Amino acid sequence: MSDTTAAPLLRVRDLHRSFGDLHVLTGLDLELQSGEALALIGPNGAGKSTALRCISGADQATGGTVELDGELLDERSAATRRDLAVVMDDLDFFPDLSVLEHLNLLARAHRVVDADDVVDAVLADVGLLEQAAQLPGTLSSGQRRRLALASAFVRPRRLLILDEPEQRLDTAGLAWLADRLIAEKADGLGILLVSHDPDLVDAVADWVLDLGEL
Amino acid sequence: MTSATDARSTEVGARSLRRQMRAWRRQRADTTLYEEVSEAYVWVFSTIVLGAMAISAMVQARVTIASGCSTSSCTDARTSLVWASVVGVVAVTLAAAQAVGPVMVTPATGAWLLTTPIDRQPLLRSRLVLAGAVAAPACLVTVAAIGLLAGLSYGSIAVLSAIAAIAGAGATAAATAWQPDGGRRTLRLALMLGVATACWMLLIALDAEPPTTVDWLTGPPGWTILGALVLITALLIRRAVAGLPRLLRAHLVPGGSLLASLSGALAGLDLTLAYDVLVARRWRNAATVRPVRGGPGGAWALVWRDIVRLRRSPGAVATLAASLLVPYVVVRLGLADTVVLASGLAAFVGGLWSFSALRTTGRNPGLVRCFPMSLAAVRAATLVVPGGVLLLWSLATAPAVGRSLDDATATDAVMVSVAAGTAALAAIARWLLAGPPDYSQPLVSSPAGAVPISLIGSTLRGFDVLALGIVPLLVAPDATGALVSVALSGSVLSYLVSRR
Repeated sequence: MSDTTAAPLLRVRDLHRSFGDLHVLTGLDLELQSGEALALIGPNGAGKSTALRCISGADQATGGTVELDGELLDERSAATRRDLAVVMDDLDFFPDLSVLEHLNLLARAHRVVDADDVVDAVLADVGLLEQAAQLPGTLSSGQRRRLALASAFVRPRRLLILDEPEQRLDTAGLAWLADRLIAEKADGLGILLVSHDPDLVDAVADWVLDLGEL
Repeated sequence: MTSATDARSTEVGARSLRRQMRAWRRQRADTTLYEEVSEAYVWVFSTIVLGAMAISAMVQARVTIASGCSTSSCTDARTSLVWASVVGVVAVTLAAAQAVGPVMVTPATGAWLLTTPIDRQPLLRSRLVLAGAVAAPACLVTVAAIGLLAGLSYGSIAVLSAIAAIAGAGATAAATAWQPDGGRRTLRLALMLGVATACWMLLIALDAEPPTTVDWLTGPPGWTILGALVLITALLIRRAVAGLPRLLRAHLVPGGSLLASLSGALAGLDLTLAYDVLVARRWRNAATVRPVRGGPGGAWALVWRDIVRLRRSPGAVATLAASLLVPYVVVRLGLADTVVLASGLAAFVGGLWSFSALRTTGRNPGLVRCFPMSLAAVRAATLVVPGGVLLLWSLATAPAVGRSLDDATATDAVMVSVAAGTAALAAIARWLLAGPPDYSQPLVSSPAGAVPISLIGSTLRGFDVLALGIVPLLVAPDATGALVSVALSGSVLSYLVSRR
């Protein structure tokens, strides 16, 4: 996707995923450099989320390779887990830990320096300061989405993989998300996202891949 | 626009609505009366046969159990246990009643019927009757079974069971009367009776229980108590019925939703899903907590969170502490041969509630992906604190286990206790890390329709691993048996932790 000669942050080659006779992905290729964002778009059923799941290791591809920094991506390895922040629909929460405690747990697990300050900053950024003591079961769907996004922003990361991050966010939330992702790019992160929101794609993505046209 | 007069004219009674719904159902009936009668015959016949088998087995067990109880201390303990069980079943009835309502409606009824201008009282009255009709037989059967196994006379069992049944119905009525206030009084009373039952068990374990007899129950005093209970229950039911109009939809639908979720899980024999439903409900009701910051880094952050979680869950700790009484009470009842088995079962059932983090990470790959360590490391970290507590629990049972073993050294007692605790730990891990039923597997036909093969064994999940760890202890209740048991349980545990 990039014309630079540096080794890409993410390289996907000839990715296949089939469910029996149903071939959802048939040879997907893409590359992504640090500081770039690539958006996968397309109609429902085009294979966008399946591609993200295979790339992040949540699902096993039936063929092809995924490389992170030139190394085959293995989601079991600690190094991959440190570099890869993924927000997809399968992210649920501990029912008995508050919003703040979820972020604190992740920050501590990733050995973030000044974890408490980072957690406070992220809580303020995602607009969940007032919900810090709330348990996830009592959050609205939009607030749960913000908490899911916060779980990616509270930890070290080099590549962000987001599946329809705009889902359930209000208008202000959408504007915040676009600004935040642009800032993430400016910090040198790679972003791979699936989105149905053309405004978000226009604002964030350097590259757009329409899986409906492949 | 609808005028007030028009609105009044549209008021309908619950009876006419029920008639209408019955008519619809009859129009859509897809079975004949003959098929229904045949099916009912099979159910009634099966219930009678299975019931007769259960009663026969219990009578046989009663004879066997009675042979091990020849001292007056033992018979006193058994009599006392039956009385304590009456208090216990009332406590459980109150707690269950508060959890579901006890008067409740399904979400569909809440959305479609309760939003119409019908007279709610007849509808809710039938729900109250249903709640009582479930509670009374459940209390009756439980106390009758305990009385039967304890060796009480059949007359005493009949009166005690009747007392429990009426008390259960009364408890349901009381819970209904308190339902409009949120059920706080119901919960408080359930807690008081639960603590009283636990204290009673403690006294039995310490051989210091208050003297109790049951012979007088079959005479006039017993009938007087029964009569008084019937009168009190009738008054409570009257009060409950009078309070039904005060019930809001918000009081009625959550219980129906909970039952719908639980019945959905149980219909699929997915007991761990039922566990998830109960845990989620408990914390949704709590809504907020006082956040705790700090803690170590890496995988120890998960361990630290489990310490916070344990401090935040007095109910889970109290359940585990109460289950500690089981092996001691079993020794006191003259059932020494079953102490190790009872200890393992008590640790399994009592300890389950402290392992919610293992369950959450086990069913939630997206959450595990957030942590910078392997799945096995995450699972191992969530086992440290509750596993450590279970280890302490098993050490605390060593005196009871030691008393149950012939010529056992203190080392044997400690090792057998720890082995039973380890077996329970492996069983809990097996139970909580179970996946949902896989409907892509081959299906077998059953009276309930086609079910996956794995579904049939899902009710035994956990108990199979517990048996694997306990059997060596029953065969060789010494240090050697304990080492074999720990090796088996440890192998299962390490497989479960590392399995993807």
